[in-house]
Amino acid sequence: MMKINLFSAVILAAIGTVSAAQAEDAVALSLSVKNHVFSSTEVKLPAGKIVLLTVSNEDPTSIEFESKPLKIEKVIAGHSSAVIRIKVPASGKILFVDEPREDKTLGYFIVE
Amino acid sequence: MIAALIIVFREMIEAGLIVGIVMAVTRGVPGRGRWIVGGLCGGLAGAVLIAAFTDVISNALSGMGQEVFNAAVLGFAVIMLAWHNIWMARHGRDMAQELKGVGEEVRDGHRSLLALAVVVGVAVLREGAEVVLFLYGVMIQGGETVTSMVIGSLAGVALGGGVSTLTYLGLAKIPPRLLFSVTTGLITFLAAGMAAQSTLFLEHAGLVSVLDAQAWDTSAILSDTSLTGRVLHTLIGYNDGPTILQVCVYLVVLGGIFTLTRLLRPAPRAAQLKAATA
Repeated sequence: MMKINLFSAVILAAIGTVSAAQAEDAVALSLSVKNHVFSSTEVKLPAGKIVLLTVSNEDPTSIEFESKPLKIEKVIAGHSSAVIRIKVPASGKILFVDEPREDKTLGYFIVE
Repeated sequence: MIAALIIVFREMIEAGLIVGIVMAVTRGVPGRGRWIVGGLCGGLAGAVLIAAFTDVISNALSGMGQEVFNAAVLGFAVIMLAWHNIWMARHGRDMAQELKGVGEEVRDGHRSLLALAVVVGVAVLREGAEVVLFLYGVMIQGGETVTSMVIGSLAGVALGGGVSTLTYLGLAKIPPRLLFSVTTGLITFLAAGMAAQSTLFLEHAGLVSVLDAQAWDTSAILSDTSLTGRVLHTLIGYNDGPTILQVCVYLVVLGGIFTLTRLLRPAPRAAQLKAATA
């Protein structure tokens, strides 16, 4: 029990440190999806930075936010939101989709 | 119906392969059916729970809960697989030659089965939670009756079971003499691939950021989201664009398990047993 407590304390401390470090130089952006359409189909990302993208799902159904080139896959339940950490590459136009509806619900990250 | 079928089957591929491998690995071990079914049921129950709490998990740990959870679950599966392999190296040959002793050996055997049952459970849990969420989505979206959705899902599960059966039958074709080495190798690659995947989740959570440059990009040749790519991703951890850290972790786990399995194999004893049974 002692061990487990110590273990979780270490993990929490690590996460605390990381969140503090993240908060310093990360850029916060947001995006939402409603009626299976992204609020913006072209999201500009600053090259080389860390972006914390909050994706709000305003539909009752869950989505799986996915960007294959960025190796991002995150399930977001209906009527809720999630934060996605993106390490922005140097350049590019990168597709992001709601995976189960990838032909219809999509947009692009524009790195500049 | 088709929507449900595709969703279920896509998520079932990984679990299907893993169940097939575990069945082959535990061939001839008494009581394995109960353990595997137990793993499946535990995984399913867990999947429903996780689906229900997606929101809570997701928003824990400053929004990185899902990543940390996935990383932890995969890390746990890696430990179970490594432990199983090392244990099998010590005792597997006796079991394969049906020299199973009563008492301690069997109890140990059950502990090893438990490790594999956990791996099955974890595979079902991770993929299953997504299935539950999306089926719920298909349902509340309307357009599909519950009956057609249930039929579609069951067909998807049946196809996933087909993947398990094919994997098992394929492995069963291997001569018993070689089966042990083959399954040990398979489990080692499976574990290395899971470790690399776990690393990716930690990177996404922002918990590790060393060596995070992309090592290669082979998405144009074989995308890891294609069917072949997915199968290879599960079996050997194929990734069309891993980070350098992921490659390092993969190699360390692969090398580590191989080395430990070799070091701990009691060669003289195995030879003695062979002589005794000859």
